[in-house]
Amino acid sequence: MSWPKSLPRQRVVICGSMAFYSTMVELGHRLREANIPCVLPDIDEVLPGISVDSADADDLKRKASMRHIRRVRDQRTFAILAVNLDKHGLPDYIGANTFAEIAIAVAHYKPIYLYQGIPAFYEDELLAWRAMPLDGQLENLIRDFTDKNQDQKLQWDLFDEGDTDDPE
Amino acid sequence: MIPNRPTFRRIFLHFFDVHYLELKTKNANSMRRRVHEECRRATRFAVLSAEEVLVPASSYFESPECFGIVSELAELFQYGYLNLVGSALNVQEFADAKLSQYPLGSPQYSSYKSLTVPAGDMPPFATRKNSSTADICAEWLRSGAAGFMEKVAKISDRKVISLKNVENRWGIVPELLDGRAFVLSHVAPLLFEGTPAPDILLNRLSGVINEAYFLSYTREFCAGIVADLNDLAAPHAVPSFDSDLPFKPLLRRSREVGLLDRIDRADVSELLRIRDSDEWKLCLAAACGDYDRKISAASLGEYMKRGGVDDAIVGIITALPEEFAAVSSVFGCNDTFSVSGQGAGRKYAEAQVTTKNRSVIKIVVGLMTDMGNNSAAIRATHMINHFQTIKNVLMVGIAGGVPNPSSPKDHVRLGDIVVSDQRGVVQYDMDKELPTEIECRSRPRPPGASLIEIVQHLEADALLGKRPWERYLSDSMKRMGASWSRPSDESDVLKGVQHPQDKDRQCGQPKVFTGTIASANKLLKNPEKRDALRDIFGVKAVEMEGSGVADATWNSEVGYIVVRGICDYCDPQKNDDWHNYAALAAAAYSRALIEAL
Repeated sequence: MSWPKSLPRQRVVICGSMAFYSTMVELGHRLREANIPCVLPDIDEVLPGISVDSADADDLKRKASMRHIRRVRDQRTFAILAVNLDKHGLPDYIGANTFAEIAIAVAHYKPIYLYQGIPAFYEDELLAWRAMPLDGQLENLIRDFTDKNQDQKLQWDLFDEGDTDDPE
Repeated sequence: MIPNRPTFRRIFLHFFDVHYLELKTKNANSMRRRVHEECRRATRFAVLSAEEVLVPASSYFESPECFGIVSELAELFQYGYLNLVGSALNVQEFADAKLSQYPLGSPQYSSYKSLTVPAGDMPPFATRKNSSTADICAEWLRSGAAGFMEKVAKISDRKVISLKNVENRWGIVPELLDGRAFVLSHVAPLLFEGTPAPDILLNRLSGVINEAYFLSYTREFCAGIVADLNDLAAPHAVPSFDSDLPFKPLLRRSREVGLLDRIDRADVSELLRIRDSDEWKLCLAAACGDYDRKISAASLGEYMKRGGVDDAIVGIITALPEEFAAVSSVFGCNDTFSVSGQGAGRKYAEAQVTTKNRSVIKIVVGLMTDMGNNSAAIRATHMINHFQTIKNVLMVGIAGGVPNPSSPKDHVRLGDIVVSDQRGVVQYDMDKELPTEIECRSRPRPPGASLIEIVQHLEADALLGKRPWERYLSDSMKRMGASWSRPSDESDVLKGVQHPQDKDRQCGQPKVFTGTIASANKLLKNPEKRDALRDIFGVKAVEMEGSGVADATWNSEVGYIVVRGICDYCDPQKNDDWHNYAALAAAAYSRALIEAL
């Protein structure tokens, strides 16, 4: 048996309210520029001109949520980045959907990065879950991702140097 | 039973702000379609619900999005449902003014330079009294840097941006702008002295500016907004002065009954039919109910989380809308919120005041549903029950003054301020009527001792030339506009009496008196009765709510005080000319009082 030449690449899953989508896209670009793959939520849109009733609209929304939750849980997910801009006058806003995704990430031992600070509303929970506020800077997330993936690469490289035989 | 359609007098379409829309759609073309759809639906919901829909003229001319969506409704223009608002007499003057605010070559400059829409093909143009730039400047100076600094206090980039310098430069930004538009791209380089600021600072700064911009419109027009938006939700609170139209509940309800599709596809005639239909009335009523429940739960929850319920220690009660507006302006109140429950008396504005010893006092402000002592007592009781940490309640508003021409130092004039002293309020309609005499049976209700002590200190400070209420009054007058200015002294006429000379009176400023305040469930226009109250009880002002508040606070064992701006002389010549100024004067003094707690 050969050791795999390439590892499934880790990625960051970006979460947040649709109201912050343009910022999420921008952050996605910046992470990719730092060689970090990332995934954004789908836009759970009802296409204009297409008539849907409430049940269908809810169904679309639910399916979009489930798809993103699966991404959060996925073993390739290194961490989640919750984009928590200000909303409705509340600083560092995290809505119900995003909070649910954070909780699922915690349950699967994924680190939580908050793009801004820790919102007062969920402070106790987020501190207990060791959510890391980035205060609008991505450097810590980039560093942590790079360090983690460098370690893993080094480990794989140890077994990879010119020897394809199963060490067993 | 078909409910009456909930009333929305005026809705201001804040989300069409150009910079706002740009922020929502930059980097993400996929969002453009969603944002466009939400703007379009929100506009149509507003047209279906409100008596008047207001569109910022700058958005109409600078945003292709806004122009397109509003132009679809061109047939409505003749009915006056949809109006542009701008600070100019007409479109051409508006465009000329805008050209001087934007640099040559900028997209905005080009939009105004090439204005080609004939006047007949655009919505009616409604002239604003106030300039949004001037209002934003005033709000910028009034609020100061404190709120912004608090929000960015934890930002680690204080190493790059000196927050101390930001605090120092805050006050001179309007001057440095030198007439240019008060927008982020102009303000940020001035505030941060050219240093590139991190996005988180810029976003929050943009929020401060936008909030003041929207406040400028909604306050002038007493308008509500389309609230509870999805993708167009604002980072900051959007101040409103009337009922807000709830977007998400309307979206859900209209979709449930199959109306949404019709609204999306409707031409103007069909929209007008939908507007008058029972289906829409039911849908709107149901959506408003959903929203009220959501807001009550969220407001109280959020308020508790922010420590509001636990921390509100001063309550202010006002009886009239102009009194509430005056207090809101002087204290910089946030949006109103409702506490849960049934019936009236659950809506409040909140504010915070930093005292001289740097502690923060949270204030809640309530507006009574009606004048009179009964309503005042009910409102005060509700307030004390809703916010159980309240220690003091202020009754703030206007009153009739009791002149004393024979004693200049006791002669109350229009625009003066009267504050209840240790004798408190005398309820002069609580009496025993005998055939030959009337015996007053008002119970003593002294105001709170700590408040009286503060009033004494303010009086001492005034003797030393310190009158902080004068600055609050002056700032608020500028902010509120001409109708809130001090009327001329020529209009301060006391029939048949020459006002005595008073060397202690500052020209153009209210004089502050402390004394007994008379209160009853009657509007007094009888100078003989007024003078009798003065001679028997030493009364300096007459009003209609003080004893209700005094009784309610006495029952609940919290302190109270009454602060009144004088607007008439309780005589048949009384009119409304001094109402606004008097309301502001009372509010300004109240602020000085609370800051000294």
